[in-house]
Amino acid sequence: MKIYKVGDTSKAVCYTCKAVKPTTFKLRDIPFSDGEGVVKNVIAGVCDACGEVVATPPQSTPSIKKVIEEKRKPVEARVPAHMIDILNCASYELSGTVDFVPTILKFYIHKMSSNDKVVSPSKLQLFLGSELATGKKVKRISIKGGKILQDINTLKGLTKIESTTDIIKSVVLKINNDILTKKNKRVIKQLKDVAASTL
Amino acid sequence: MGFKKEKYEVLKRLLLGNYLHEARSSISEKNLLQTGKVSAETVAKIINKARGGDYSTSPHHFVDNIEVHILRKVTYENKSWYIKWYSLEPDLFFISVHA
Repeated sequence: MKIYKVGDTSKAVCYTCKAVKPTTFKLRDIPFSDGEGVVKNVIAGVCDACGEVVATPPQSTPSIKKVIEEKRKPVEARVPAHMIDILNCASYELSGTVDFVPTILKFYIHKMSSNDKVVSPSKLQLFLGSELATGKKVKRISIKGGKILQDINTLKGLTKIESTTDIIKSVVLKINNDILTKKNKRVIKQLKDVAASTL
Repeated sequence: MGFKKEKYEVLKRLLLGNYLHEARSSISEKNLLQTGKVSAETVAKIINKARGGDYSTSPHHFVDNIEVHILRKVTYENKSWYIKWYSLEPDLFFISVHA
């Protein structure tokens, strides 16, 4: 296999410049064309004129494949049965169906990983100390999506909650707090709008 | 260059690992070789099965002196494959590899 090093030069068709342009191989983060996920820090051919990624060498394929496999793997956690009931009730309250559960979870995880002011991660850890955080773990929550693993890892950093299961449990309890207990009007409106446009 | 010579050239490059994948600022899951879903060996087997009737060429969208080589409906392991590539010396670029 021909191995490219950072700094190697070549030429390629650049779709941004709409012409053949000289290129240099550099380390780049490259998104997937479906908008879900990014391959981080791989060697790619970059257009010298506009800076866009125009080529990838076969040596970067294993890194690309790894990210695709992680995208497809669901994030899972075993939780007490009442947490599934919380999610189903919240989903029913917002959309009239239990099919909205995955979207509610992804909405919360994504918003909190972005340090959103309305859906804030700031007191998430406190929910783990509540009575509702306890119980035999007899059911499973499974969340799929290109960005979910990335968002959960970001949230772990923001909240200092180390385990994925604890992140998911605390998110469920926050959903209970916002939607079913305190009935936070701003969050409920945002989620109802999402439900109306997607279901 | 006729199909036979193009086939020889792309097979040689594939088996030596001497090629690149076109990227339009992102990674497309339409190139299964780029994403690792199929191996270079498998793509070589598909190309090897192709005959003249499966092959055509067309000028590249932006650079019309680049000839894009296209294999359509090459049957391999019960799937019908589509492969597209071009040469831009000294390199060869795959655009699409999918069933």
